[in-house]
Amino acid sequence: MENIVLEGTGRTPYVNLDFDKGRIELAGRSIPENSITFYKPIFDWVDKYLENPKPLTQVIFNLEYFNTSSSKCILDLLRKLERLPENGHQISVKWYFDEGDEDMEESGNDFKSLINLDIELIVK
Amino acid sequence: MLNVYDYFKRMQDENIILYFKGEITNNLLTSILQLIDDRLERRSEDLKVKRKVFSILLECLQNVYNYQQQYAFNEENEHLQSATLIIKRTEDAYYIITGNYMINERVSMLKNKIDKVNSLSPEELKLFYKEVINTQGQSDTGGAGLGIIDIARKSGEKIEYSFDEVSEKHCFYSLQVKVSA
Repeated sequence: MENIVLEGTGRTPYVNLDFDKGRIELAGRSIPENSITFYKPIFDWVDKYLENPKPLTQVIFNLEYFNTSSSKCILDLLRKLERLPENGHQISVKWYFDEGDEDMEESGNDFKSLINLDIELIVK
Repeated sequence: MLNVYDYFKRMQDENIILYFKGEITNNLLTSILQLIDDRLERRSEDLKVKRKVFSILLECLQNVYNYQQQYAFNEENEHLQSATLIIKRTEDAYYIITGNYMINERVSMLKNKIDKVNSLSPEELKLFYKEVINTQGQSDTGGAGLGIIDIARKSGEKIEYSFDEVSEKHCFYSLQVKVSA
C-alpha cells in the first residue's frame, strides 16, 4: 500500500499517511475552498488501510486552523477510525494545540465527546 | 478630483485597518487571509486573539463566497456580485464586517439562524454545534449552518446584522462580528 505525503500550503495541511508505521498525521492549516475534494484521497487511503491495519495506529492532529467544512471531514475521518478498537486493534489519537489557543483546545474536546475514541489533548 | 484625504481620514477616524469592495473570488480570499495573517503577526497580537480574528474572518468570507457561488449571476444582475469587507481595530476589539447582496427569499431563514445563535448561552451553543455537525450531511456546505455557530462560539459576543432594502427582489445583508482584544 502506498504512503501519501502532501506538503502543506497556506490553505491545506501537511498530510502524512504512512502505512508501514500505521501513522496518520495532519498538520498546519485545513481551510481549503472545497474540503470534500481535498479529503477524498485521504478517506480512500484510510478505507484501504482499515482492511489491513497495523496492531497500533497512531493518529496525530497538529492543526493551526481548520474551517467548518474541514471539521465535518475530520469528524468523518475519526468515525472511520472508531472501527479499529471494535475489531481489537489499538489506536492512539493525539490532538495538539498551542498554549493559549482555547478554541483549538475546545475543538479537541468537541471531537472527544463526539467520538468513541480516547483522544489525548496535548498542549505544545 | 475625488477628495482622497477625506476618504482616508474617515477610515482613519473609524479605526478601519482594511476596506475592500468588489467580487470575492477564491484567489482574493486567499490573498486577504494572507494579508491579515501578516498584519496580525506584525502587530504581535495575543495568540488567542489572532486565531479568533483569522478563523472568524475565514468563515465570514467563505459565507459570502459560497452564497455567490450558489447564486446564478447574469449580465443583468452582475453588479450584485460586488461585496464588501471591513476590518476595524479599536482600542479593545477587532470588528469583522461583511456586506453582500442577497435575494429577499433567503432573509427570513438566515435571520432565524442568527437570532437563534444569538439567543444561546456558550454552553447551549456548544451543544448546538455538536448536534449540527453530527446530523448535517457532507453535501450541505453552503447555507451558513455550522459557520454561523462557529463564528458565535469563537466571538463570544452577539452577532450584529442588518438587511437593507435594495429592490423588490434584493436586499443588502450586513454582518458584524466582534472579537475582544
